[in-house]
Amino acid sequence: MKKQTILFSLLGLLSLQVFLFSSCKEEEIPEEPNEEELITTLILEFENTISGEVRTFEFRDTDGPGGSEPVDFDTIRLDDNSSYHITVSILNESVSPADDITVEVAEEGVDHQLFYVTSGGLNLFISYDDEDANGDPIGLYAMAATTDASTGTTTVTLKHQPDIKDGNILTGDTDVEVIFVTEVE
Amino acid sequence: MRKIWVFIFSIIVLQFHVAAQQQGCNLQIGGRVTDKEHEVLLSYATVYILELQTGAVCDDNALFAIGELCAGNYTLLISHLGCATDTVNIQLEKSVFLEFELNHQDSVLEVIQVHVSMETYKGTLTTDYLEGKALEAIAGKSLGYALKDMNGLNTIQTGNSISKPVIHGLHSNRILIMNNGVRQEGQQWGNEHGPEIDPFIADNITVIKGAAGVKYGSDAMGGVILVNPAPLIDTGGTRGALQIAGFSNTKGGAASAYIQSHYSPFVWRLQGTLKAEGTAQTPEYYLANTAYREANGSAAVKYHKNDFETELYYSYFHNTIGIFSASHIGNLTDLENAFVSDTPYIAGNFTYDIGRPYQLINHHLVKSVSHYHNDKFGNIYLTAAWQNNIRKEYDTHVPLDDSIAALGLPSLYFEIGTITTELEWKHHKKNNFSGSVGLSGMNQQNITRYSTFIPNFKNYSGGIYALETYQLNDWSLEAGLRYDYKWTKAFFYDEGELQTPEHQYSALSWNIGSTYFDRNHTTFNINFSSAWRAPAMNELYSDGLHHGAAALEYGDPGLLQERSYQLITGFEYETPKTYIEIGAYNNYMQNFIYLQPVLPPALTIRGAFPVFEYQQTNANILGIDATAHYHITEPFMVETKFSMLRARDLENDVWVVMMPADKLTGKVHYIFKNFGKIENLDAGVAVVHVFKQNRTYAEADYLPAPEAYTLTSLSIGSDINCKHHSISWSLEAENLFNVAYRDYLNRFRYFADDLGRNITLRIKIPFTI
Repeated sequence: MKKQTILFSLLGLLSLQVFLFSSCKEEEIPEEPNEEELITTLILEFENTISGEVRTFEFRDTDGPGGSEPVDFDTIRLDDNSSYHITVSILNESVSPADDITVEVAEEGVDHQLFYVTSGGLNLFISYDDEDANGDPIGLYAMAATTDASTGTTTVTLKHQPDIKDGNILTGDTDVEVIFVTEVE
Repeated sequence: MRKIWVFIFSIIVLQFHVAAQQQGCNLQIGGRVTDKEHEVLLSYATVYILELQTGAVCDDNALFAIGELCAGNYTLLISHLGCATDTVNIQLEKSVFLEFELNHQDSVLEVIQVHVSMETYKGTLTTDYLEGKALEAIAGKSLGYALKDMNGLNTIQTGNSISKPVIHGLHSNRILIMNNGVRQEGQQWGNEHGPEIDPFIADNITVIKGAAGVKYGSDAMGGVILVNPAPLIDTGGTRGALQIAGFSNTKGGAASAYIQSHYSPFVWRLQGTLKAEGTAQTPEYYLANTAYREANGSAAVKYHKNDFETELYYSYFHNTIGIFSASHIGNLTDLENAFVSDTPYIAGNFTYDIGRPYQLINHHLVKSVSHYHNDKFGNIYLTAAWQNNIRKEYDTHVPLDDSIAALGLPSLYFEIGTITTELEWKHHKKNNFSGSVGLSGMNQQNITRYSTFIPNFKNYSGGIYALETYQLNDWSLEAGLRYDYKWTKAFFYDEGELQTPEHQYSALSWNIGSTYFDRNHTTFNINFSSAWRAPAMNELYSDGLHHGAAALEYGDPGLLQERSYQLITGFEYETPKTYIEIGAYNNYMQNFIYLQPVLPPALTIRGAFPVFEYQQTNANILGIDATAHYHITEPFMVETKFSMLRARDLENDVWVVMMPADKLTGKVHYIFKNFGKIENLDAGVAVVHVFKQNRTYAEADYLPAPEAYTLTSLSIGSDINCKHHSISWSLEAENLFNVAYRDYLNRFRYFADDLGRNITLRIKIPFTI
């Protein structure tokens, strides 16, 4: 019986040691959170097809969703009865240097599509001006035409549709969705 | 020589449980084990049924109960540390209460046993258990799903493969799961993080409904679930069992087997489970990407000599869970699109493949427990356990940057390591007092990668407690007190600066209760208790986007500890034909932590996101669980169960949301006479009606609660008597009429219907070598 008592005490000490030893382990400091891939910035560049004048409209939230408020959120202002070439840039500006995600979207064009939806009464009409490997639109390049002066909104949506790209805005995951107030004047 | 005899001192035949002359599989053997020489009660003696390979451990008052038994001949092995095992044969026709006397000697014997692996709880709180036939009937289900038919229990689900138990409206951080006597530590804060436990390891699952904080420590505010493997006993030769289950809905299957043997002074057991399921289906469509895989194993070895025994246990749990594609949403517009559509936008096809998004989970547990018995001062238990939980979540989106994508990293990675130690002394019964004193400690470390939603952290905690029971005739009085201390330190970067805030929490838990046990008809219990928990890391430091949930969640480092004051009463009445059980509870929770929706929604590049903040309020949960059985004729039984609860946020005067709806169950079953080799043939129909949860409010949820629904299930099963063993089988049809429904506590209700008809075949084959 004495033997058992000794054995038992030893076991007790052992467990206590495990507990104490593990307590002294080095404190775990997290790695800098940098692997996360963020989209922070959407830039729409409108180039007037006649005058060549370029206007850029931006949405910029450098710390990603949540946290600080967006730093830039422009109103789209366009001339009436005009036509424009649209060029889209999608960036991750939470890292330095900024990561140009536009390139990745273009490369994986068959899995992505940008949609442009304008509110009723806004005289802005947007059509696709690019295509992916399958001949379907991506939307990184587009054409815009305005008629009479009007106001409304333009919603720019980037959908991720891996193997399910079907031209339907309802399908897939939303990577970008920005609603720009829009004035045609 | 040193022959130790057990004899039946008296067999008191009582209407111990359910009907007297009934031939069904709900008979019970209850009893008490005493020491002949010392005339003392033998707490923690083991009673084991050889044929069924199941058993029970006596409680502090040396009482035991084994339920869900079929009529038949059984060999009982009764043992206690320091005594030899003896064998008693009984012919069970009705529920019985047996008194055993063991000759207890100090220094004896090669063959002694008591197991240390099984936790039992018999206190003044309301408990429920699953074992024997009832446990076999849920074989192949996940732990959360398996318990949802217990009265007062529900399950909070993320589709068909992730389910978490809910006890009296509380879950996750507010309940404890004891996996073979060790508190399960994973990422239990998440609603989509199911418990990492293989229910096939269990020989008995006991649920304590109510704050059991004194015995089990902080966090046990809603209750405790004890998942207990069978005791390791060195009799009965080499034996084992194979259990298989096949499911029609997912065209899936599960197989689990164990084998155990002994080579004195060692006893060992090996166990393993494999499970695979394909795409799940609702009545009208497949749920894309809902395949599932699981592989688990465990090994246990016990060393046993004289008054000392020690056991080493290892278990491994691994699963890969496909997450329904249409439920993983990028923003609120996606969510709204999903709501307006009757069917999911992503059509599913049947497959066993798992695509993105998915979860991959590994859980290791190593446990050592030692037990020393001394005639004078009682029993001492020392438990030390190490567990490591790794959770990887893969998003739908492969990173756009090829160089990152090529690494194949998960979108979220959590690794949490926990060491728990516990020392417990249970003293012998003296002057009608029995009880225990304990000391426990925990050390925990969490690492999060690829996300900042939860910070890295370290936890240390310790507790000390005492629990005493005073027995006076049919009455027992119980009182307990516990002190816990917790220290925690978080590590995270805020605008490039390393932050390392520390928190300390400490508090008392207590409980006082009484049980009246009249073996003829009635049992009554009342318990008043208080438990607490420290705010969890997600509540303190959640910061931003909750993956796949399209919500921004913010913690509050200033949160105070949560406290519960709970009054529970239970009443049981039984006659040969009738059984009635009514339980009522009121749980007042101070500083109840909840997610408060905050307006306006946050503007992000992915559209507007709802914002939630962790806040505190005082809340009250009031509820009733009632069960009644009635035997119309001997073999023909009707059963009804009802549970309801009302949870109010007292400060804001609104309902607490995500609480279970009222539930009414009706069941009829018939037990046929034995014929030939077919024994215990039992057929039943059950109808469950879940009411609509009207107690919610618009701002707290994206959608109103789904409509009420009624599901019907059928079951039939029997034993087939083959020479030395009894093979059992059962066939169960759930959602028999293939009803399309959505459940309030299932997150997939936003996107799709719940599962359609599922037919399950289960077979259990015991064997000896």
